[in-house]
Formats: sequence, C-alpha cells, structure tokens
Amino acid sequence: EKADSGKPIELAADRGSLDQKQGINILEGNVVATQGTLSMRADKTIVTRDAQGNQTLQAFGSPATFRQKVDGKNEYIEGQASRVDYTSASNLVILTGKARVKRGQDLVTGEQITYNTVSEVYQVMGSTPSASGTPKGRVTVILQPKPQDKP
Amino acid sequence: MKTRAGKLFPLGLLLGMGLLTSWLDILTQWQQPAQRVLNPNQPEYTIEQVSAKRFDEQGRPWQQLHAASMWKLPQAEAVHFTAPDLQQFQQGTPDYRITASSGSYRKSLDIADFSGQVHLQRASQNGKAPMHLYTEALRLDNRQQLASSQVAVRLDYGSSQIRSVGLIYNHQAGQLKLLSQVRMHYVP
Repeated sequence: EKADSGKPIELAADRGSLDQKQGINILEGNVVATQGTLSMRADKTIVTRDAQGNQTLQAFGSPATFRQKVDGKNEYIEGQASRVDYTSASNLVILTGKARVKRGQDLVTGEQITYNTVSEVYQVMGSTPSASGTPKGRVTVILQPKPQDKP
Repeated sequence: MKTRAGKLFPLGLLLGMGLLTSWLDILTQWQQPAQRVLNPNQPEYTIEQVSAKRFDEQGRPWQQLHAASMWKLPQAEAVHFTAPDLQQFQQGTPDYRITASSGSYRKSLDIADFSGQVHLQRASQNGKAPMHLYTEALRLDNRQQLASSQVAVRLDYGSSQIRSVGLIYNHQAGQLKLLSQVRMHYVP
C-alpha cells in the first residue's frame, strides 16, 4: 500500500554492519523486514542511501521473498527471486533468478521481472539481459478472468 | 717539640675530618624504607570524590572525569573507579559522555572498561540526532579508536532504535558491527 512508505521499518537479522560514512547498511542471516503491509525475507540485504537520500535495497535469498497488500483492495502481491533490487528514486522492483510474482490469482514467472510500484506495470524476460547467446528462457503469464457482473 | 706538634697538627686535622665525614655519612645514609608487604587484595590507595580535567593545546577542555572514588591494587596496573562520569570534548565542545556504576583504566594498553548501567551519549552533531547507547559492559580502546561490548546493547538514535547482542564501533571508520540477534526499529 502507498501508506506503507511512511510507516516505521522493523528489521531483524543475525548480524549487521552499518557504515555511516559510505551510507551502507548490511544485514545477514534470517533477515526479516516489515513496513506496514510490506514484509520481506532474505538471507542478506544491502541498503544504501545516497547524498540526496535516495535508497536502494538489494536482497539475496534462496529465494528472497516479499509480500505487500494492493492499495485499496483486499489483495496481495507476492514475489520471490534469487535477488530482489528496489530503487526508491525510480520506484522499480527488479526480481532476478527464477523470478515469480503472484497478484491475487494472476501469476507471472520468468528469469527476470521488473515491476513499477507506481504504474503497476510488469515487464517479464525469459533470460537476463546479460545472458550471452540466444535467450532460451521462457516466460509464463497466467491471468485469471475477472468474474463478470451479473446483468 | 713544637715543630713535631706543628707537623702532626694537619695530619690530625685530616684524620679528624675524615672520621667526622664518614660518621655523618653513616648518619645521613638514606635508609630504604623497609619494604612494607602490602595485601594484594586491598587497595594500595583510595581517593574519594575525584574530579579531573585535561586541556588541549589551545587550553580548551579535552577530557573531564568525575568519580565517587578511585583506587588501585598494589600489584595490578589497572586503576579502578566507582561511579565514573567521563566526558570527551572535541575542540572544546562536548563530543561524548560515559557514565557507569564502575570502571577501570589500564594505561599501558590505553583501554578503559565500564560496567553496570553503562550509558554512552553522543552529542547532536551537524544537525544529526544525539545517539544514546545503553549496555551493562563497554570497552573503549583509545589506541584502536574502538568501542566494543559482548553483551546486550541498545542504541537510540532519534526515534529509531537498534538492539543487538555484541557490538563493535570503529570511531574512525564510522562503522558499527552488530554481532548477533539484531533488531532495528527505523522511522523514515
């Protein structure tokens, strides 16, 4: 939900290191982060903040997972991948490595999924852009028909 | 007879002076005080209501220490304090302050250990919120510029809070390592 971003963030982990000068915070081991309706689990997270206050989050896991309620609906978005990148400046969430996003009953899977949290637009790729040679991966999108309003 | 006495007189005088000098030497010989055998478990000295201040090259406050008492054991190097209140200044302005139930300092290692309701507070700097650290045991290694604890710590930083078991803070690098059981409450 949009209101999540103004809520306090609760973090738990086995170990942590905070570098004030570089603005890099690393958490490792059973990392659990929650902010409002958003919750994330990972083996390791790296949060950086630049001079302008823009934050980037990298989460690594087997897989790293996140779950967040859709704004104004009783519906959740759930995502998982080997790596999740989130950039506050561009509102982009990039899931890389066996990526999977489920929203309500709709499901998208692929090697890399890019999701804009503002425009709610997805982009799915069968293989990561950096993969050499002809892309071999496949993309799967399952969209459930919306129940028709009875006349 | 007279000439013989005349010759003997200076010799006698010399002899007498020599005897006198050695006698005085014996008298004034500084006798090493008999080494008092001190009880190793009892303080060699105690000082009550300690208040000490150090100044930097420009004469500005640099370090300030108050303590209810200060004492030292005979064969140990560490100096012990009860209720220490140590304040560190940076160019004359308060930088951080530590209070605790007890503390000790070893000069050769330049290490201070604080225990019992330890509270380290770092003054607000460049508009950043002040920082408060609470723990039961804290070590300050001045040489390495490290603060470390092996027990539960809580850090309050504005309205955000960090808890962990074990911590190492590298003052020069500005790096904080949280050793285990990390919990953070961060208010954006």
